[in-house]
Amino acid sequence: MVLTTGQAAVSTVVGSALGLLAAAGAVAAVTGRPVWTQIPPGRLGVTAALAVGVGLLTTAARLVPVLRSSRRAEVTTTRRRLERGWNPLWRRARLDFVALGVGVLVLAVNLFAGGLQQTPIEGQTLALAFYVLLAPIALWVGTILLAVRGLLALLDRLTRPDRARPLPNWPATALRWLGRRPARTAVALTLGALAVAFGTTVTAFTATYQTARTADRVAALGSDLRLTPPVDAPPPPPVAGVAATSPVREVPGQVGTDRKTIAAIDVPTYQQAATSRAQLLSGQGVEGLAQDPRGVLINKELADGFSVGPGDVLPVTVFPDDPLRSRILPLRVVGVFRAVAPMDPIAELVTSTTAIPAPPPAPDFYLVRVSPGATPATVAENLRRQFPDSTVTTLGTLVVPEQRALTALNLRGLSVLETVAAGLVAAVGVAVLGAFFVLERRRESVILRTVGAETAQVVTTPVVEGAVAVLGGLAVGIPVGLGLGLLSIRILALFFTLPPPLLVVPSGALLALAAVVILTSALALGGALYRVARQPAAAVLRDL
Amino acid sequence: MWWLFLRLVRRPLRRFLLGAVGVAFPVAMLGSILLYVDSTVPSMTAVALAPVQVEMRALAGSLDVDMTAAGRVISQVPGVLRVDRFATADVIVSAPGAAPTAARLFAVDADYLDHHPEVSLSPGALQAGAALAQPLRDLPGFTAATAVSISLPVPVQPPAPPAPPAPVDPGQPADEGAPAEAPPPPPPPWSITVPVGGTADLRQASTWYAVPSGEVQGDIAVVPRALVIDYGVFERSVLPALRVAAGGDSSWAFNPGSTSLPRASVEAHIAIDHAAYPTDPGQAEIWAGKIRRIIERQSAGSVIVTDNAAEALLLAKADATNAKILFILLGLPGVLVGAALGLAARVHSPRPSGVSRPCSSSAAPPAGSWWS
Repeated sequence: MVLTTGQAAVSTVVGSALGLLAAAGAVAAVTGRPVWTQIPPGRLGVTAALAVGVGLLTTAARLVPVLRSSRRAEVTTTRRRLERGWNPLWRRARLDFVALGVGVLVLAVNLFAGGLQQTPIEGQTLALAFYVLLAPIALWVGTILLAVRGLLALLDRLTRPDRARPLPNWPATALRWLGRRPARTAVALTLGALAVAFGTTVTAFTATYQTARTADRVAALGSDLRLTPPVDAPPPPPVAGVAATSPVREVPGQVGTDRKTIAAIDVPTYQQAATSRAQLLSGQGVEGLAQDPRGVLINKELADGFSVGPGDVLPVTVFPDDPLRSRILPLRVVGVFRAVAPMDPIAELVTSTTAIPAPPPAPDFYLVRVSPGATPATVAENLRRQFPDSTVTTLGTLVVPEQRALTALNLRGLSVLETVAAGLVAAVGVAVLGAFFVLERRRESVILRTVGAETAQVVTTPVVEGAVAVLGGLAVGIPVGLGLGLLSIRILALFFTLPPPLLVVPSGALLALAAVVILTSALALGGALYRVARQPAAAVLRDL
Repeated sequence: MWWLFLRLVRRPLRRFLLGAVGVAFPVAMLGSILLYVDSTVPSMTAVALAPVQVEMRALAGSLDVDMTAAGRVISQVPGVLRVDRFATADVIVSAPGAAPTAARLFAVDADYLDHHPEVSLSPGALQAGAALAQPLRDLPGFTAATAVSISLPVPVQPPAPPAPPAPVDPGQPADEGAPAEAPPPPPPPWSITVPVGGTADLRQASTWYAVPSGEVQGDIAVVPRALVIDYGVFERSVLPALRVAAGGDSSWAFNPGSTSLPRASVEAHIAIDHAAYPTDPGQAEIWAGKIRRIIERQSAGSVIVTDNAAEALLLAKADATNAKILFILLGLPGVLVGAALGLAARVHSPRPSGVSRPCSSSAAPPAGSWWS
């Protein structure tokens, strides 16, 4: 017992050191800087301690059953194993059903609590809302274990001794073999599917995050380009490559005692120049402003705060701090929006310029839509040349002052780290367990050779089992991962202005993941088979 | 015992290494996620601070405070990059042929413009006189004005000098025999005339229009008609008149109960070195609070410091927590599957040659397996 514990302790120390070095190296490779230059030493210490803690837990999970079984007589252990057969703990405990139940329960609680609502969730409330992400984790475990349970049940049914039929060929023999001795292949399949599903979820999440981020920036800019003229500049004349321009005025306003910003748009030109569609919660959008010159679109916070909706009249004070121009306007709410471009600068109300008492203030900026065939970059260059005193903003140069840090994260690095790790786990899982399988059957292989089996016949069984593990892992893991990605992505709706797309499938990353898994597994299996083939038969038979 | 232990480690070296790799997988997974989170969070402080135009504002408690001296003290505080003098006042602006109009007067030093790109003035406008914001320029009479007169909305009444005590004869009534003195004529209203030096574009200068303190601190109160003059001119000409007009009423300069811009204010706009902030947003918010208190203490209570970056840092702090939770929940399955691989690889590794199984079938994994 002391020796086992000592050996486990040494392997834990060595493994933890290796793991920490690998983690530091991977993060440095992704971020481009050594971790100790970016993170305070105290924080590094906490991180290292937490990571080593997981290593200790892994060792404990392995060691405790060994130590418990060592207290039992060997004959008891053997009898237990023979009586139980191959019926793993998760199957006996119905872990798959429990995990699925937990996942569904978390989702149900969230649904009954009103779902994921963007406002007024923020700060710590937002952190609490992340409990929803526990559902995909539980469903991830449950779905894959259930799939493996189903597969094992099918194999068991097909290969039951009372249903045994004559074996027509070697692959059929291998399948029967697999059905009756599924332990290692099932472990490899389960690990592969779990890892592939994890990698798929992370890549889908990251791809959707990037798409949502781009969509937010497009909505913030409002059009292909933005032209901010000097204060006393006349409206811009027609420019080659520009399809439409539309002035936007930021008018100070006050609703109740709260100061607000009103975006006054020129409705006819706005509809030609805006590239991002309005996201409405109720009522009409900009077309409603075209029909009602005294109409106004308000955001959800305002609608909730003042209990107004489409059709209601909202008294709005314009220029509240300017005694000469201050006036109360009874504006009719035509719609409640989640987003109306441009979202930067933030305006709580959007109305037509005609609703603002004349003369309207000078435009703060112009939305510029480029002609079909022209690129925003080229047109931006043209505009800069033609209006050197103006500022031309592109999607790339846009700085959104109100941008939340959560929407500015670089998730690409995390995605690379986790996808590579998932690929590695899947590949190593399938490859190592497959290789073990081959190595352990070296005696069997030698006996088959001795009785006249050819190489192709000898390798059929390991190849079939390896293929089942690899392809099964991919076939189960990718759809499950995409499905879980679909759930996880809903959390993005809490902090992005626009609702995220349903799911962005990163086909390139998924193909790369599959290729890595297949290639590594093939290499490991091939290496193991080659090694077995080179072993002298006499040496192996002597061990029998 | 040790020889046996060493032999057990060395002989089935592959099993030992496999055990180590099994531990390394979950450690590396969790370690890389946490390290990545730790290296990402500092970018949140930078993102939060980037749009802040003025990190802190030192508001004079009254118009009598010497902000030039206060600025010198503030600039000595560690982390303070620069201190710029700034003043505002509600004024009446008039020009020949134009009706007097209410406007907001801003005063800064010329080098303020070098550090604050959000304010755009015609070249040399401050040195030449006053820079008028376009909405003021657009008013009839101001478009072509070469000079404007600035006066205060409240007439400045110089305080009456105290009357010398007259000798009183106890036998005579006090008022008898003394001729009644006519009150002095009211002084002409205070005003100065400054040449128009150019145009000011203040559309992006949101800090200038932000309510500096109180419940609605940070609300933008836009007064479109505005003009900018040199701080030296303000200090010499306008500030004394404002002090007189305020008559010692400190609420002119600082009124935390107000929901609008103060009638006048003298301030120091404090730029804090972004590199001096701790990289963690939470730590940065705490650090900024300490700096704010240090500045207030060193100014001996004459100024009140408001932290314009505090709200952004608080949000970034909350977002940092959210990002950590998000990253960990996203990566947790990876840690679990890494640990499962470690266990499975260790348990299912082939026995060394010569070690026989209790049962010839490999259908069941060895005892102690997580799988068994």
